[in-house]
Amino acid sequence: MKCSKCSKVAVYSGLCQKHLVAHVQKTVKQTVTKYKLFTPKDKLMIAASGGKDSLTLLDIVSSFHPYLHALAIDEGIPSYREHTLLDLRKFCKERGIQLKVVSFASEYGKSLSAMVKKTDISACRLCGVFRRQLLNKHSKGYDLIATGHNLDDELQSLFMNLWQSNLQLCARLGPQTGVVKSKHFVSRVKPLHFIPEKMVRIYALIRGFDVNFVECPHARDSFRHKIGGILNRWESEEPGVKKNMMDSFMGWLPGLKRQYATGEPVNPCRKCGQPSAGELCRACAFVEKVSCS
Amino acid sequence: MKIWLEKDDKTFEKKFSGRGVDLLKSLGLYNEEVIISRNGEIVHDDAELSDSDEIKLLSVISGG
Repeated sequence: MKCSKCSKVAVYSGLCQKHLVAHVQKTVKQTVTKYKLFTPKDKLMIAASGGKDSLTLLDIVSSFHPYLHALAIDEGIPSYREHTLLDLRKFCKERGIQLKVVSFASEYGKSLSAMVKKTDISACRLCGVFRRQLLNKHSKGYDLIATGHNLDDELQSLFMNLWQSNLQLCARLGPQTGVVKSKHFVSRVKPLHFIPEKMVRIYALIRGFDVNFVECPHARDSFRHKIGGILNRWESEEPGVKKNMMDSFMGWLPGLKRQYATGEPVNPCRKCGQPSAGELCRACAFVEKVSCS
Repeated sequence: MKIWLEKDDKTFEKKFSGRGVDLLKSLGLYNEEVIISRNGEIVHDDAELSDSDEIKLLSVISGG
């Protein structure tokens, strides 16, 4: 198969290596502009893990945005996070990007691996809640947090929410996260929102990022992994279906955001001061359950 | 052909000539989850592979 832009051989989605790289970079810039994700004046914190998504995000956004730093969360998962943090430290050092690493152990007194032994709450649920809290806490003073969520991540979230009949959570999706702005939250944006996961990995390979394949030991047990498998089967059998579903969702999203714009009131948690729908935020409630306090 | 499957870090031999997508099907893999590298070059899922090729099946999905 030939590239749709030149006479070279295509590697994915009708594009050769050179034009795939150009396509990904252009799509990210278009997403930033079209959805008004940030302006040149904004101070950006990039949520980074050292995987293909966050390195791609850092690579592209740092090429056109003047002010950004990176923040990584070390959950303390043996034989996993230390590898990606090594890749991330090297990547940031080579490009002169300031990186801050915070850990569950220093923030909560226990690593994720130690926490899961203390409760029946799933590792993925604990991890998601604590990561969100730490990202918000350590991004104070920044205008926005940019995450490396790609098209597959977003569709998985959409289907997980539909599976559980939770339209309110669907309304929070999209390139610009959330339905209401709050002084307690640092807003989140997703510049890779329209890039398929496979394209991101090929971009990372072509660009020569030193990303080793490592998988979180908890990932294969997760609901997200199950939904991801279903979506990948559909796309493999009916190419283009992911893009079509995302296009449809983007058509519904403005209406959903309007419908749920009032949402739940956001107040500071009485314990940590972080944003919370109730008196105690979910992270502090979980901390009590895993006896970290 | 010699095949290395990244997600399991496993190398094995398989007799195969044909399209990459058919190799993936024969191994029970979805092409959305794998990138084919033929003799060190990333190729399209539809690329023709020969039995003498050295194939790496790189994992799309990584992380959590």
